[in-house]
Amino acid sequence: MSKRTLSLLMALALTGSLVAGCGGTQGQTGGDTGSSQGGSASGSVIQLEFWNGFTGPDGEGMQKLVDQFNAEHKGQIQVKMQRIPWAEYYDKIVTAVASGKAPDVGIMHLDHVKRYAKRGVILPLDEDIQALGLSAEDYFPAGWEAGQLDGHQYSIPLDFHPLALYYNIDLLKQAGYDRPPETPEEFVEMAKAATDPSKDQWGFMLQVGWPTQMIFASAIHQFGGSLYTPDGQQAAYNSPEGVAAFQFLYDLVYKHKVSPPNVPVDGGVTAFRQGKLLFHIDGIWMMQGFKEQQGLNFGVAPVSSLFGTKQKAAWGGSHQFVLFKKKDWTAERRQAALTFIDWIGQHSVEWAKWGQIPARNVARESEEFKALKEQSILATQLEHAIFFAAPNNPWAAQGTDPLGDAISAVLTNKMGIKEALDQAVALGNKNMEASRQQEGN
Amino acid sequence: MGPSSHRPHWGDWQMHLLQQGEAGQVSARRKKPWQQRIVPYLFIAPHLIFFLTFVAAPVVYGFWLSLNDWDFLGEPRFVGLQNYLNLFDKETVQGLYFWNAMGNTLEFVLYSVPPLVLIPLALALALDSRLPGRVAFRTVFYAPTVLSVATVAIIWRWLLDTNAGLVNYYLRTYLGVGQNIPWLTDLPWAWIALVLMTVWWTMGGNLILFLAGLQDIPETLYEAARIDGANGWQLFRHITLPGLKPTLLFVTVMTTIASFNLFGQPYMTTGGGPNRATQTVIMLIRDEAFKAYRMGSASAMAWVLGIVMMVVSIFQFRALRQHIEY
Repeated sequence: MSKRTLSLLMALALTGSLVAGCGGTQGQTGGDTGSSQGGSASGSVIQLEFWNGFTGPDGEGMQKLVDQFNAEHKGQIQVKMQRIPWAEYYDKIVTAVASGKAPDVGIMHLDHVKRYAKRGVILPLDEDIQALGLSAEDYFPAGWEAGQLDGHQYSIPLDFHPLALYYNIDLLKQAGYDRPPETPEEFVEMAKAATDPSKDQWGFMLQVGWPTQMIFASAIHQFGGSLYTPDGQQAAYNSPEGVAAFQFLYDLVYKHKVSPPNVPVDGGVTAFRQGKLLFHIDGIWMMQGFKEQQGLNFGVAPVSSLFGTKQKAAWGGSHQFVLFKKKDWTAERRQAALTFIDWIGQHSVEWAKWGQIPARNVARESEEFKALKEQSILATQLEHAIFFAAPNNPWAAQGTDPLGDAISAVLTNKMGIKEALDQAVALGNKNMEASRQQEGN
Repeated sequence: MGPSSHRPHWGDWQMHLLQQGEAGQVSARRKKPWQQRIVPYLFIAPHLIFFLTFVAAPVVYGFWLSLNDWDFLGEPRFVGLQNYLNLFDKETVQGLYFWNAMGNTLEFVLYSVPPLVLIPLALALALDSRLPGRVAFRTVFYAPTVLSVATVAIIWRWLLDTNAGLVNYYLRTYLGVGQNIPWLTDLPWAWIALVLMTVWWTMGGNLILFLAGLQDIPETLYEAARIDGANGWQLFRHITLPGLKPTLLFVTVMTTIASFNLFGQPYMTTGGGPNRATQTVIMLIRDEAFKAYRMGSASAMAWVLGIVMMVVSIFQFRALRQHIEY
């Protein structure tokens, strides 16, 4: 009897671990299948493999575009899209390129492009771009520059995704205001008016972690400082401007008390969805989710002048198209890939509907885009966008990576602002130097 | 399951059972023809093949990598013991945080292993009795084990949210706790939260092992002891506990190893914060390998962690193996 029970239990346990195993890998639909290399099998139809990390609702939007492209190019080009969560995406593509089984087309974030170009993961596209008749004038300047290294262009921008100020329209009205803030004074004043801890209602929530480093990046520039030295080779956010910008953010919690302390990552998202938070600052990519929240009446506004008054600035990111290095590229295949990238760029107003701002001017200046109210408001931040990237420095993002440490140390009162920023800058520069040594040649 | 999993290795448990039965047969083995001698190897072959391919080979390859500089794309460059020396040099990016992460990992092992052994043991004793509804309870306690770490992390992030979380809501409303507890952002709460979610998630596995162990103790021993007039405590102290010792040893060692491999829970809830206080070695290894692309250095870190784990396991075996009555 005991033997039978034991084996039953064992079987149960085994099933359990299998289920857990499956659970852990869900979402990376067949991540190991690699590229299907089906080009030659079906005659003249070129089959392209397209990898990206659009695993949220945005993936649905991109799939629709891909389907439309495939329908319009029947018998010529067929694109197969594969979505891998961003957290694993970069590991996967490096592995795929190293094993020679890379996909054809991929998406990379603006702050990754130069480093992967340096490491030889992606191809220079100068001739292809010339053949398509595209140039820097077709895109927003910083987005185009991000793809440049050593005189070559390695990427073609798809979109721009900045920070956004999300505000609860009802709470703002209750507090006695009819428009979102445009200056630091207004931001603090309105947040104070809406804060009522007895009702669990807050003006703002400064999260201990993501995306506070993006908020800080915007703030330091608004205070007249910069994340990097003018030549872009070193991290420099421990400047007096950096300290002042951080002090402003810190004071929101500990002086003005418009934000509770110790808000975990996504704590603000939850409170904003519940209608208990006046202001939430997060990426434009959160918009779709907030729109689906029933009973939430919200608007968006730029963050460009909410923290400092010296200059306008807003952190942003950008998805960029790249081609991966591999052996089986042919002229036709490359042309097909570029046709696809160009086509998506031309149709990127459709992509904008999923909460993005098109990088391509012709799409962004179209009447169709201007009809997208929220996206148009946030597109104004393009002119003064700040990135975790610098010209001629493929490793810039590593310099700002330790900002996360500084934010958690300061906001939990483990360290003073100057000390924490000094330490983060020192580590960031050390990280950059180590990578420069390893990958520089 | 990957490095994010935090549960005992079932294959090893079966090996353990096999080893128990093997002891007395050594002398008879030599006289048998090869067809018979090969039989046991055929039985272990399925496990052995997987073990060699997915455990032994990567371990050896990892050691070779740890002697090289390799960015995953180019050719590895032999650097001898440099990657190990870097770990002891506070001037390098590796040395700066490796020992912090090692300390954090040991801290978690210390906090998590006792509850992960004692709570399932207590539950197993309760469920082994003639309690009504014990089958339902078994299922309930085992259920979280089937969840993936991502699911567990999301559930607990919502429960433990400082302002909107259910846990703080109950503490405020029913226990009159004035301040919201920063479960995920400050110490010591972050450790408490990590231990809590790990216990909730993984105790089902240990519970099953203890239940199996309890059922292997012959009922006749209890009968005899009862006739001799033993009370409940004496039954537990002199029959249950000695009978459970092999299980206890196994559970303790496996739980310790699993706790050393802590990754998914802090990665997805505390993010290693505050200020790297909950960053574990596995988290650092992941960053070293896939953010910095220093595969050699990451392998060296993995080997040092492996050696520490081996030392601790040997110590546990020594301490617990004495007086085992099979």
